[in-house]
Amino acid sequence: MIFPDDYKIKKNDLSLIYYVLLAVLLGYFEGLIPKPFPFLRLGLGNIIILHLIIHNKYKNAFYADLGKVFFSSFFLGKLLTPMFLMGLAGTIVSFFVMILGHKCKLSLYTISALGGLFHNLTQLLVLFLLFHFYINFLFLSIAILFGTIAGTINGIIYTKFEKILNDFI
Amino acid sequence: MEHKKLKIIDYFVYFFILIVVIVLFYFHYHTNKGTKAIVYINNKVVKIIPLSTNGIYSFHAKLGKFTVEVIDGKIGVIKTNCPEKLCKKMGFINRKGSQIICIPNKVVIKISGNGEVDDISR
Repeated sequence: MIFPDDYKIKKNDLSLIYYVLLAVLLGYFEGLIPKPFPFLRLGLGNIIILHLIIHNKYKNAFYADLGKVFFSSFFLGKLLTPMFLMGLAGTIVSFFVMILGHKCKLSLYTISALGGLFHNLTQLLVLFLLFHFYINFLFLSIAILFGTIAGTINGIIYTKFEKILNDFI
Repeated sequence: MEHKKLKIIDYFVYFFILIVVIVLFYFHYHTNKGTKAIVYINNKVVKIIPLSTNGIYSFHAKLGKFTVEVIDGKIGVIKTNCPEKLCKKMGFINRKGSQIICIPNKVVIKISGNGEVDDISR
Protein backbone atom coordinates (compact mmCIF):
# COMPACT_ATOMS: atom_id res chain seq x y z
CA MET A 1 0.00 0.00 0.00
CA ILE A 2 1.18 3.49 -0.71
CA PHE A 3 -0.33 5.03 2.36
CA PRO A 4 0.07 3.73 5.93
CA ASP A 5 -3.12 2.41 7.47
CA ASP A 6 -3.77 5.35 9.71
CA TYR A 7 -3.37 7.95 6.93
CA LYS A 8 -6.32 10.29 6.79
CA ILE A 9 -6.57 12.55 3.81
CA LYS A 10 -5.77 16.02 4.98
CA LYS A 11 -7.65 19.14 4.13
CA ASN A 12 -4.49 20.54 2.58
CA ASP A 13 -4.28 17.63 0.16
CA LEU A 14 -7.91 18.04 -0.88
CA SER A 15 -7.35 21.73 -1.34
CA LEU A 16 -4.33 21.11 -3.53
CA ILE A 17 -6.15 18.53 -5.67
CA TYR A 18 -9.03 20.93 -6.12
CA TYR A 19 -6.76 23.74 -7.21
CA VAL A 20 -4.71 21.68 -9.63
CA LEU A 21 -7.89 20.33 -11.24
CA LEU A 22 -9.31 23.81 -11.50
CA ALA A 23 -6.11 25.14 -13.04
CA VAL A 24 -6.09 22.38 -15.65
CA LEU A 25 -9.76 22.97 -16.44
CA LEU A 26 -9.16 26.69 -16.81
CA GLY A 27 -6.26 25.96 -19.12
CA TYR A 28 -8.47 23.71 -21.20
CA PHE A 29 -11.24 26.28 -21.55
CA GLU A 30 -8.71 28.90 -22.38
CA GLY A 31 -7.53 26.70 -25.21
CA LEU A 32 -10.99 26.92 -26.75
CA ILE A 33 -10.61 30.67 -27.18
CA PRO A 34 -9.09 31.48 -30.58
CA LYS A 35 -5.78 33.28 -30.34
CA PRO A 36 -4.30 35.59 -32.96
CA PHE A 37 -0.66 35.22 -31.90
CA PRO A 38 0.84 31.76 -31.57
CA PHE A 39 2.63 32.02 -28.24
CA LEU A 40 0.70 34.67 -26.35
CA ARG A 41 -2.17 33.43 -24.20
CA LEU A 42 -4.27 34.74 -21.35
CA GLY A 43 -2.97 32.12 -18.92
CA LEU A 44 -6.16 31.61 -16.92
CA GLY A 45 -4.55 28.86 -14.85
CA ASN A 46 -2.35 31.50 -13.29
CA ILE A 47 -5.38 32.81 -11.44
CA ILE A 48 -5.11 29.76 -9.18
CA ILE A 49 -1.42 30.36 -8.57
CA LEU A 50 -2.12 34.02 -7.85
CA HIS A 51 -4.80 33.04 -5.38
CA LEU A 52 -2.53 30.64 -3.50
CA ILE A 53 0.36 33.09 -3.41
CA ILE A 54 -1.81 35.91 -2.08
CA HIS A 55 -2.90 33.66 0.76
CA ASN A 56 0.72 32.83 1.58
CA LYS A 57 0.45 29.19 0.57
CA TYR A 58 3.74 29.23 -1.31
CA LYS A 59 4.36 25.49 -1.20
CA ASN A 60 0.90 24.64 -2.44
CA ALA A 61 1.25 27.31 -5.09
CA PHE A 62 4.43 25.67 -6.34
CA TYR A 63 2.85 22.21 -6.45
CA ALA A 64 -0.23 23.59 -8.17
CA ASP A 65 1.99 25.40 -10.65
CA LEU A 66 3.92 22.29 -11.61
CA GLY A 67 0.79 20.19 -11.57
CA LYS A 68 -0.95 22.63 -13.88
CA VAL A 69 1.88 22.55 -16.40
CA PHE A 70 2.37 18.80 -16.35
CA PHE A 71 -1.25 17.74 -16.34
CA SER A 72 -2.49 20.19 -18.93
CA SER A 73 0.44 19.33 -21.19
CA PHE A 74 -0.28 15.67 -20.64
CA PHE A 75 -3.96 15.94 -21.50
CA LEU A 76 -3.29 18.11 -24.52
CA GLY A 77 -0.70 15.68 -25.77
CA LYS A 78 2.03 18.27 -25.64
CA LEU A 79 4.31 16.66 -23.06
CA LEU A 80 8.00 16.97 -23.93
CA THR A 81 7.35 19.24 -26.91
CA PRO A 82 9.19 22.56 -27.28
CA MET A 83 6.04 24.41 -26.26
CA PHE A 84 5.95 22.41 -23.05
CA LEU A 85 9.54 23.41 -22.24
CA MET A 86 8.73 27.04 -22.87
CA GLY A 87 5.60 26.82 -20.77
CA LEU A 88 7.46 25.10 -17.94
CA ALA A 89 10.25 27.64 -17.87
CA GLY A 90 7.72 30.44 -18.08
CA THR A 91 5.57 29.25 -15.20
CA ILE A 92 8.55 28.60 -12.92
CA VAL A 93 10.03 32.04 -13.46
CA SER A 94 6.67 33.76 -13.20
CA PHE A 95 6.05 31.85 -9.96
CA PHE A 96 9.17 33.28 -8.32
CA VAL A 97 8.44 36.74 -9.67
CA MET A 98 4.93 36.60 -8.20
CA ILE A 99 6.33 35.57 -4.82
CA LEU A 100 8.76 38.47 -4.99
CA GLY A 101 5.90 40.78 -5.86
CA HIS A 102 3.89 39.47 -2.95
CA LYS A 103 6.79 40.02 -0.57
CA CYS A 104 7.05 43.60 -1.84
CA LYS A 105 3.38 44.02 -0.93
CA LEU A 106 2.24 44.88 -4.44
CA SER A 107 -1.42 44.69 -5.30
CA LEU A 108 -2.75 41.51 -6.89
CA TYR A 109 -3.12 43.16 -10.28
CA THR A 110 0.55 44.10 -10.36
CA ILE A 111 1.66 40.69 -9.11
CA SER A 112 -0.37 39.02 -11.83
CA ALA A 113 0.86 41.47 -14.47
CA LEU A 114 4.49 40.89 -13.53
CA GLY A 115 3.90 37.14 -13.56
CA GLY A 116 2.43 37.28 -17.04
CA LEU A 117 5.16 39.59 -18.28
CA PHE A 118 7.98 37.37 -17.05
CA HIS A 119 6.21 34.27 -18.29
CA ASN A 120 6.28 35.65 -21.83
CA LEU A 121 9.80 36.99 -21.44
CA THR A 122 11.08 33.61 -20.29
CA GLN A 123 9.38 31.90 -23.20
CA LEU A 124 11.19 34.25 -25.56
CA LEU A 125 14.44 33.53 -23.77
CA VAL A 126 13.94 29.77 -24.20
CA LEU A 127 13.16 30.33 -27.89
CA PHE A 128 16.36 32.31 -28.22
CA LEU A 129 18.65 29.98 -26.28
CA LEU A 130 17.31 26.62 -27.38
CA PHE A 131 16.09 27.28 -30.89
CA HIS A 132 18.42 30.13 -31.90
CA PHE A 133 15.42 32.28 -32.76
CA TYR A 134 16.64 35.85 -33.12
CA ILE A 135 14.46 38.02 -30.89
CA ASN A 136 14.09 41.53 -32.14
CA PHE A 137 12.80 44.43 -30.13
CA LEU A 138 9.33 44.16 -31.57
CA PHE A 139 8.84 40.63 -30.19
CA LEU A 140 10.18 41.76 -26.82
CA SER A 141 7.88 44.74 -26.60
CA ILE A 142 4.82 42.74 -27.71
CA ALA A 143 5.63 39.97 -25.23
CA ILE A 144 6.00 42.44 -22.38
CA LEU A 145 2.92 44.45 -23.33
CA PHE A 146 0.63 41.46 -23.81
CA GLY A 147 2.04 39.80 -20.71
CA THR A 148 1.12 42.75 -18.51
CA ILE A 149 -2.29 43.13 -20.13
CA ALA A 150 -3.06 39.42 -19.74
CA GLY A 151 -1.85 39.50 -16.15
CA THR A 152 -4.01 42.50 -15.30
CA ILE A 153 -7.04 40.88 -16.91
CA ASN A 154 -6.33 37.74 -14.89
CA GLY A 155 -6.28 39.87 -11.76
CA ILE A 156 -9.64 41.39 -12.63
CA ILE A 157 -11.14 37.97 -13.37
CA TYR A 158 -9.75 36.74 -10.07
CA THR A 159 -11.53 39.43 -8.08
CA LYS A 160 -14.82 38.26 -9.54
CA PHE A 161 -14.30 34.63 -8.51
CA GLU A 162 -12.46 35.19 -5.28
CA LYS A 163 -15.29 34.01 -3.07
CA ILE A 164 -15.57 30.65 -4.82
CA LEU A 165 -11.85 30.04 -4.56
CA ASN A 166 -11.74 31.06 -0.92
CA ASP A 167 -13.92 28.11 0.06
CA PHE A 168 -11.08 25.70 -0.53
CA ILE A 169 -8.07 27.55 0.83
CA MET B 1 -8.68 42.85 1.22
CA GLU B 2 -5.65 45.07 1.09
CA HIS B 3 -4.40 43.27 -2.00
CA LYS B 4 -6.94 45.02 -4.17
CA LYS B 5 -5.85 48.53 -3.42
CA LEU B 6 -3.47 50.06 -5.91
CA LYS B 7 -0.74 51.90 -4.05
CA ILE B 8 1.84 54.30 -5.41
CA ILE B 9 4.38 51.53 -5.98
CA ASP B 10 1.92 49.72 -8.27
CA TYR B 11 1.59 52.79 -10.43
CA PHE B 12 5.37 53.02 -10.50
CA VAL B 13 5.66 49.43 -11.71
CA TYR B 14 3.06 49.86 -14.45
CA PHE B 15 4.63 53.13 -15.53
CA PHE B 16 8.06 51.52 -15.67
CA ILE B 17 6.73 48.69 -17.80
CA LEU B 18 5.10 51.20 -20.15
CA ILE B 19 8.38 53.07 -20.53
CA VAL B 20 10.23 49.86 -21.31
CA VAL B 21 7.67 48.90 -23.96
CA ILE B 22 7.83 52.35 -25.57
CA VAL B 23 11.64 52.31 -25.59
CA LEU B 24 11.67 48.87 -27.19
CA PHE B 25 9.20 49.98 -29.85
CA TYR B 26 11.38 52.99 -30.57
CA PHE B 27 14.49 50.85 -30.89
CA HIS B 28 12.71 48.54 -33.27
CA TYR B 29 11.42 51.14 -35.67
CA HIS B 30 14.69 53.04 -35.79
CA THR B 31 17.09 50.22 -36.55
CA ASN B 32 18.47 50.19 -40.00
CA LYS B 33 16.64 48.69 -42.89
CA GLY B 34 18.49 45.83 -44.51
CA THR B 35 19.53 45.72 -48.12
CA LYS B 36 19.43 42.01 -48.78
CA ALA B 37 17.67 38.89 -47.57
CA ILE B 38 19.61 35.66 -47.11
CA VAL B 39 17.54 32.51 -47.52
CA TYR B 40 18.76 29.44 -45.62
CA ILE B 41 17.24 26.04 -46.28
CA ASN B 42 18.50 23.29 -43.98
CA ASN B 43 21.08 25.75 -42.57
CA LYS B 44 22.70 26.25 -45.96
CA VAL B 45 22.60 29.51 -47.86
CA VAL B 46 20.41 28.91 -50.86
CA LYS B 47 19.97 32.42 -52.22
CA ILE B 48 20.80 36.01 -51.41
CA ILE B 49 17.94 38.24 -52.52
CA PRO B 50 18.44 41.99 -52.95
CA LEU B 51 15.55 43.92 -51.49
CA SER B 52 15.95 46.76 -53.96
CA THR B 53 13.98 45.19 -56.79
CA ASN B 54 10.53 43.64 -56.50
CA GLY B 55 10.23 40.01 -57.45
CA ILE B 56 8.92 36.56 -56.63
CA TYR B 57 11.29 33.72 -55.76
CA SER B 58 10.45 30.04 -55.33
CA PHE B 59 12.45 27.42 -53.49
CA HIS B 60 12.21 23.72 -52.90
CA ALA B 61 11.98 23.20 -49.14
CA LYS B 62 11.38 20.16 -46.98
CA LEU B 63 7.61 20.12 -47.44
CA GLY B 64 7.59 21.26 -51.04
CA LYS B 65 7.38 24.57 -52.82
CA PHE B 66 8.18 27.66 -50.76
CA THR B 67 7.56 31.06 -52.33
CA VAL B 68 8.61 34.50 -51.14
CA GLU B 69 7.97 37.91 -52.60
CA VAL B 70 9.86 41.18 -52.40
CA ILE B 71 7.65 44.27 -52.43
CA ASP B 72 8.83 47.77 -51.61
CA GLY B 73 12.05 46.69 -49.98
CA LYS B 74 10.35 44.08 -47.78
CA ILE B 75 10.29 40.32 -48.10
CA GLY B 76 7.56 37.96 -47.02
CA VAL B 77 6.30 34.41 -47.49
CA ILE B 78 3.37 34.03 -49.87
CA LYS B 79 3.13 30.31 -50.51
CA THR B 80 4.08 27.43 -48.26
CA ASN B 81 3.01 23.90 -47.46
CA CYS B 82 3.54 23.95 -43.73
CA PRO B 83 0.49 23.17 -41.55
CA GLU B 84 0.53 26.16 -39.21
CA LYS B 85 1.57 28.86 -41.72
CA LEU B 86 3.29 30.74 -38.89
CA CYS B 87 5.87 32.00 -41.37
CA LYS B 88 3.14 33.80 -43.30
CA LYS B 89 1.92 35.37 -40.07
CA MET B 90 5.38 36.86 -39.54
CA GLY B 91 4.52 39.21 -42.37
CA PHE B 92 6.87 41.25 -44.48
CA ILE B 93 10.19 42.19 -42.92
CA ASN B 94 12.91 44.63 -43.85
CA ARG B 95 14.94 45.42 -40.69
CA LYS B 96 18.49 44.25 -40.25
CA GLY B 97 18.53 41.15 -38.07
CA SER B 98 14.84 40.38 -38.53
CA GLN B 99 13.99 36.84 -39.50
CA ILE B 100 11.21 34.72 -40.91
CA ILE B 101 11.42 31.09 -39.85
CA CYS B 102 9.49 28.04 -41.01
CA ILE B 103 10.43 25.13 -38.77
CA PRO B 104 8.78 22.27 -40.71
CA ASN B 105 10.31 23.47 -43.97
CA LYS B 106 13.65 24.26 -42.30
CA VAL B 107 13.69 27.67 -43.93
CA VAL B 108 15.25 30.76 -42.34
CA ILE B 109 15.18 34.14 -44.07
CA LYS B 110 17.49 36.73 -42.52
CA ILE B 111 17.76 40.38 -43.40
CA SER B 112 21.26 41.75 -43.52
CA GLY B 113 22.97 44.98 -44.39
CA ASN B 114 26.21 45.27 -46.30
CA GLY B 115 28.94 42.87 -45.37
CA GLU B 116 27.16 41.38 -42.39
CA VAL B 117 26.63 37.80 -43.44
CA ASP B 118 27.05 35.58 -40.43
CA ASP B 119 27.95 31.94 -40.79
CA ILE B 120 26.26 30.09 -38.00
CA SER B 121 26.65 26.38 -38.25
CA ARG B 122 24.36 24.65 -35.82
